Amino acid sequence: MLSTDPLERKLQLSGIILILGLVVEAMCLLGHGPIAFMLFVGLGGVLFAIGILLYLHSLVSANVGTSKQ
Amino acid sequence: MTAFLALFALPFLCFGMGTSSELEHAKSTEFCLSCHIMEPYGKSLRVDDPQHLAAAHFQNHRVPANEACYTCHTNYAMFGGVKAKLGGLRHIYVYYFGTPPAPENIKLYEPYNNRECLHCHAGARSFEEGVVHTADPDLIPALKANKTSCVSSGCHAVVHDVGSLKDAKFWKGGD
Repeated sequence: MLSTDPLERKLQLSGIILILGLVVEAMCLLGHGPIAFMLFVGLGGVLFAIGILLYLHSLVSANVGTSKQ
Repeated sequence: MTAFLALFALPFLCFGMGTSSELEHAKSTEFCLSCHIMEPYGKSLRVDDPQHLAAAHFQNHRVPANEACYTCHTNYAMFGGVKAKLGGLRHIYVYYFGTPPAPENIKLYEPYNNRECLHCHAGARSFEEGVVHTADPDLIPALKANKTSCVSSGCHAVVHDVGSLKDAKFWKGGD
């Protein structure tokens, strides 16, 4: 269940996406072909990038909200 | 701090280590031969004939057997590894989204550069003092300047003769 607080919700979402990315990357490391490599970089990398960017965005937007108040 | 470690530092670390591991694995002979189109090239490494350049290198461990393709087909200039990886991405694209050529019609993107041979052979006694290499005093300088090709000038011309594999005898060892 996601939190109702916007900052916490974004952090939770970021965590979920990163865990998905980790799972994808772990599965890809078990593979031996070029497709595993492509999925590792393409899907796992994108999930990681989204998760990290969402985490950074949540920090920045929280700071903006605090300074406005 | 915990959130920073879990949501920023750890993913970076995992991705970096995973990418490094995948890139290392991408050098393996097994990886290159995992595409069906490359199977005849894998077979050509086991041809029982010392005139077959790739087979002689593979079977006599002149190249590491587990990185045989990468050792000869990477470029030993700056960014050679990166270029090889980009070439690999192009192969994957053509294999899955394009029309891959028949194995015997696969060609190198550019003529094979002697630099790749000389990376190991330059300075070796068998190369520098070999009877054929020293018969003509201009030959070694021409080879080193890439003016005369090692593989396409008629001397070491049989590299992967995938068209004649059905008549070839194969080496059974090395597993």
